[in-house]
Amino acid sequence: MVRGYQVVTRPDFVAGRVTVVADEAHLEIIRQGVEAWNRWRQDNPGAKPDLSGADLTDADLGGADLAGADLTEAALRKAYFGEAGKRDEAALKGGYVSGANISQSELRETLPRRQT
Amino acid sequence: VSGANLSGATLFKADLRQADLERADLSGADLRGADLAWAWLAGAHLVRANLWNANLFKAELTGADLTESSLWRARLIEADLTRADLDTAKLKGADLRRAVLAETRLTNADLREADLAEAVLTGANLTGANLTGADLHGANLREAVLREAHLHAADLRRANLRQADASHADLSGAQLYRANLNRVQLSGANLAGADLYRAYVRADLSGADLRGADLRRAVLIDTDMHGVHLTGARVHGISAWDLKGVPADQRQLVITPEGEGEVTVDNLKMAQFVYLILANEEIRDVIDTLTSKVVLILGRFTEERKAVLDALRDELRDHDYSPIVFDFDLPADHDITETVTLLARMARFVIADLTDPSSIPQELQAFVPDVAVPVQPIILQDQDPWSMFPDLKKYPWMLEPYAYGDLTTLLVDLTTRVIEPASAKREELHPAMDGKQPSRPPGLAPNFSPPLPP
Repeated sequence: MVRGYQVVTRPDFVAGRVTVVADEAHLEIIRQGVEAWNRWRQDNPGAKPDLSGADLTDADLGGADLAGADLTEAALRKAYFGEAGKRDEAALKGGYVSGANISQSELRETLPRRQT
Repeated sequence: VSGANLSGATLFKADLRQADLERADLSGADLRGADLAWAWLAGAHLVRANLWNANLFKAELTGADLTESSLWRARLIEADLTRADLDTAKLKGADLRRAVLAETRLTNADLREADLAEAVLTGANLTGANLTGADLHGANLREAVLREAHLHAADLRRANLRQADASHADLSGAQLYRANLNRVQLSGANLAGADLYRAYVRADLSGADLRGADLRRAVLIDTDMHGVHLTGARVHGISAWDLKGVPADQRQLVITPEGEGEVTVDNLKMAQFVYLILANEEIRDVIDTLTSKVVLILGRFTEERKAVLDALRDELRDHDYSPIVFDFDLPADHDITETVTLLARMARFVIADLTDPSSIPQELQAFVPDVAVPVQPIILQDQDPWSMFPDLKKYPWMLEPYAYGDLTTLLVDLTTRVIEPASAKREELHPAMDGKQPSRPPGLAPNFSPPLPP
């Protein structure tokens, strides 16, 4: 596998002195969808996926093989990690939480995320 | 598991709020500091996952497998962990306030200092779990299994433990103020020094250790007390009904409220009875005529003199008497004369140890002229106690003081020189009442006289 150049995908994601960066090549593959991703994983069993700091908000990652992946500080809010191709079904049966009505007061109750 | 495979993945500080991780494989994943608020983790595989400091506020974790996971200081406020498996999970200092842990498996989990205030733990299995210092106040533990759980110094105030099984659990020093212990299995449990003030206890306490426990104002109903260790428990205002079985030991039960001179008795039923009389003026009048087996012991029983007290108790019990001890060594913050007089009136006789006597001669002077009860003074060394209360010599129920050289001598002479003279004097003073009608207080209920044979 040819290792792509690295970019700071989320420059705002700075935790302490460590700037979190993802492997842009890996990022491109995951953006093509779970099928492509899993195929790539199969072809490259030795590769260690680096998706640290990646923005995968609301992504459908149902059935994705992310074993051993580095997702440090990744933005995975509302992302789907259930069964492959069942995201809509999950949303319908109420399993998927993105539709849940969460008040602002409840949001404030949670831990503040990154301190800047 | 049929969701995404995230086993061994690093999700350190990842933002997973509202993420759907249903049945995902997160075994061994690094989720330290991850934000999983409102995340859907039903049936997720989190075996050996590291969730240190993770935020799982209102997360859905029903049926999740969290075996051996690390949740040290994780925030699980209002999370739903119904039927989840947390066997051997590390939850020290975790925040589980109002979390739902119904039928959750928490066997051998480390929950030390965890905050479980108002959590729902109905039917949860906490066998062998370590809840030392945990906050469980207002928690619902109905039908929970707490066998051999460590609950030392746990806060269980107002907790509902109805039908829970806490047999052989360590509840020493636990706070159970107003806890509901209805039909709780507590056999072999350690409740030494526990605070059961105003608790409702209808439990199997057989073989439980309640030494020094605070049972003030506790309600004990239909409770199995077989083999219970109760020595030194505080029982002021206790309400005990239909107790079953015989406690293993029940010495020195403190019947007075805190801050008053300590009155101790050696029997829970006696404790209730004596307390009733002390607390209710209306029924005091019956005491004069009551045939009792009470022997009042007055003395200053410092640590080194406790042997004398123990010898007196044992000997009196052997003679089928019920000793009540008024220990003058403990400070009283109000006038004790009335209490002493009352106890003297209900006693068959009084043993007053005048060694290092403090206010005992004064107390004797207060009741001896009015109460015709034999008083047997005893004193260490060869001194004349009459010098302490010269006026009392004229009363026939004041017996000749018995001076003992040492404890061994006292033990040898106790029956012949102390108990027998006092008993004999009692017979002499009240032969009709004690001899002929031993079980019925005549002044109390004359209408209940048995019909005389023609």
